[in-house]
Amino acid sequence: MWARTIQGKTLTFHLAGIHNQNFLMRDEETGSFWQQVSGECIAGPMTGAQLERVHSDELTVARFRVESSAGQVLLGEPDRVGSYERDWEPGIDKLPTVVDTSDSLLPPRALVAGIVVSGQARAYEASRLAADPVILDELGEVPVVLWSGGGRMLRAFERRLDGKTLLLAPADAEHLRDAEGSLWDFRGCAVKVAAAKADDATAGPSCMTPVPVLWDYWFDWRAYNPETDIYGR
Amino acid sequence: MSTRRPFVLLGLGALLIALATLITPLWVMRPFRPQGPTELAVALWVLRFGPWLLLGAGLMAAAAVVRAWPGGWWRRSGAVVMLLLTLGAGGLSRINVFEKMFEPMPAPRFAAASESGLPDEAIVMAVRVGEAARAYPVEVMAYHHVLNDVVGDQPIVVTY
Repeated sequence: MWARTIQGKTLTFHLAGIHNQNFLMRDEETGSFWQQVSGECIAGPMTGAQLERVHSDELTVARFRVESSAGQVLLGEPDRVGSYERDWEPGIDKLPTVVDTSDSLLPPRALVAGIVVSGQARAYEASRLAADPVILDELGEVPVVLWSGGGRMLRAFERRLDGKTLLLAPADAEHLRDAEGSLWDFRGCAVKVAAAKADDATAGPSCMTPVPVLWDYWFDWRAYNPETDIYGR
Repeated sequence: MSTRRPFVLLGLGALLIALATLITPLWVMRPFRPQGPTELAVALWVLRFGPWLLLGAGLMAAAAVVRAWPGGWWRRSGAVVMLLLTLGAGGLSRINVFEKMFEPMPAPRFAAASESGLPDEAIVMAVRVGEAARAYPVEVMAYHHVLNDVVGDQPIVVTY
């Protein structure tokens, strides 16, 4: 998801092409072409410009309702309902790929969650996240936590606050606990603050900084992040 | 014979330009094949400057008709056919095939989170801007792929 206001202009995007199995978009206002996956302008008057990412999460509807009770959900077009498929991925898995990944450890259609922190890209296999729903990791000296809520629902955070690294471990189905005993919810916010910290009257509601997660096929993730490594490999 | 060659060449040239404008982007950007940087650049150039190429082709085809006119009915109809084919190829090239396949949603409609009609486990892409929160079901976005929206006061483009 991208902010579509850039250099003082608000752009309106259309699908306009395919580049190595990702879509290209064209904006009405300048006629420039943009990579959907990276937000980068690759042709036209705005070549080189970079759209600013808007943070988004893949959540279940149930989770979205809990976190945003006043939130709104996009409705499908009534005459297109027959075209929407809830389980379209099994079909996609069988489609051919065009990028050679034979020199790497994963098959091209392996599903990975990718993050980029301080310039370093890392892929986490879906199977690994399913087996290990809370992963503490470090990318370029930034401590992160990946927290799987089951299936596609995954959030990543920089697990540090006021310069202190948080050592998080599962507490119950809904919370992580840090070394001092504070509980953190799935939004990445402290909900029950340990006694030692509660004395500090200046402490407001504290939340970790979210890290964008991209669910992708390995071949595609690697095509756009050639320097990526794979967690645990 | 002196007028024959130029009108045929002009007409065929116009038709070739219009066909190239139509076919190049579709050929280069067809699915399930890699796009090299040069061929992609050529295809995007053709898309960007297509209207000018087609204007040129149309003028050439029209000039061919003008030249062929004194030469009798056979030449006239030959030139007119080439003009019509040129205009036809040009018209087809102005169709955005990708938007024909994955129709855009110019006027998206929303429901309250509790009234979406989706099963609890359906996956949405959730975004929050200030107090405004919106969710885009993956099953809808995987079909339309691109949606221009405004959340709170922030214009965004949702992509999948």
